[in-house]
Amino acid sequence: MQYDWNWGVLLQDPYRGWLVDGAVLSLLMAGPAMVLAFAFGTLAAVARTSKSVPLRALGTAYVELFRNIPLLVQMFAWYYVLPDLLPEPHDRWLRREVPAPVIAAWSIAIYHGARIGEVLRAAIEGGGTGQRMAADALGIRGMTLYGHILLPLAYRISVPPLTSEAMAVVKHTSLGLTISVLEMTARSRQIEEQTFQGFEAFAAASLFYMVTTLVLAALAAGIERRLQIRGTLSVRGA
Amino acid sequence: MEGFDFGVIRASLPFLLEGMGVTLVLTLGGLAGGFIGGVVLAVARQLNVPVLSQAAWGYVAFFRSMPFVLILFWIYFLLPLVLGFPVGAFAAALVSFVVFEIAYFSEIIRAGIGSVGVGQRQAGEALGLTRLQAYRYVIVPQATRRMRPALLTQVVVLFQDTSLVYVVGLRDFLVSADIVANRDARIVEMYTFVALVYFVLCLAGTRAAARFRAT
Repeated sequence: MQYDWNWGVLLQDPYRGWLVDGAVLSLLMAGPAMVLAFAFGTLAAVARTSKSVPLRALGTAYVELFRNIPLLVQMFAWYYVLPDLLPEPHDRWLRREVPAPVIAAWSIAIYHGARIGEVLRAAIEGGGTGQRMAADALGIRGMTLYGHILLPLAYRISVPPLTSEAMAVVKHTSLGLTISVLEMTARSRQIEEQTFQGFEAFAAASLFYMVTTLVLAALAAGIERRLQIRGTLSVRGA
Repeated sequence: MEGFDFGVIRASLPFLLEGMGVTLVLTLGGLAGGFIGGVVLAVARQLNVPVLSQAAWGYVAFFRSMPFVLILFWIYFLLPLVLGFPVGAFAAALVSFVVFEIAYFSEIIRAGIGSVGVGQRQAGEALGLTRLQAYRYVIVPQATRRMRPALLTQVVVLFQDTSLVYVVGLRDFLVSADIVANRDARIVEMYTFVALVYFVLCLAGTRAAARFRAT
């Protein structure tokens, strides 16, 4: 195999700076996207398990619509299609004032919010412990019911699928490169184009994702161990 | 904004259908290769084969931590260097999907086999079945039934992930629609159509998976 190895290129300027910029941008997108996704997912799960029919319909519509369309299509919709549909001056605002990484993070949050909503709904409904009926018998309803009983339980038994979703959020930041976000994968590609040191560049990007998912997995394992409820089985997610 | 132009969709339908063909071939190829490879890895880990078991664990951990786009770049740009001859976008995409899905399918299969309690195999052997017969007549049928929802969900995810071949310019369904959208300046119509088609197909898949889970 004809290949000139040069790992030192990763430490040269400007390539080292590019790698750092890419990593930072990926993390800056992933963090808020994860938080938003969990927020949207929780709202969707609450809506879908409520007694109100319109709320259930709204929650189901959100979840089914946004988890059955590929994330890339959704990202293009927010980035290319929405500005075309908005009237002046909003379309100009969207195109000029909202940076591409924000749009990427937003679409990732909406997509994973739908998937997390499905995971949590399954956990609330199928938790298999009759908590809802017991709470009903005690007259516990509304925010207390969800905040103190259903949601804490749902989160604790859904740690494995929720961890997968969190990792997927990090991995999906790579899609930003299609809307010109210079995140980690895009930067490694940039280095590969300029220096022809593809192995080194992609290895650096791979290392970034491996470390990030490893950290998330370790965090999740720690959380699961401390929050384990004896007598309940983990719910395998959607 | 002018009215919604359905004509552009109708006119480009043959072209879009070709793209959908590419999408489907990638999905089925990824499914077939991923499932076969997944079985191999799952068995290696289940039977605790000395070196293979650890290698399988490493393989799964590595490929599940990578974004698919990065794997696609690895294979598209670097495989030709290793092999010595050029590798087209389609071949690179197919290989990438198989490599990627093997990691995910092996986990689903392992979970399926593991969810059938060890008591089943023991009961089978107590009734005079050999280990192989116990697996074939008792464990595998039960495991297969339990795996179905997760397998189907993974196929839907794979189907959605085929859209990522955009980054290497391979002409799948999404890319074909994108080409038409940019050529005819009909972005809204084409992307709405794309979203609708994906939605209908994926919804069918996830509904089927839900029905399997209910049984």
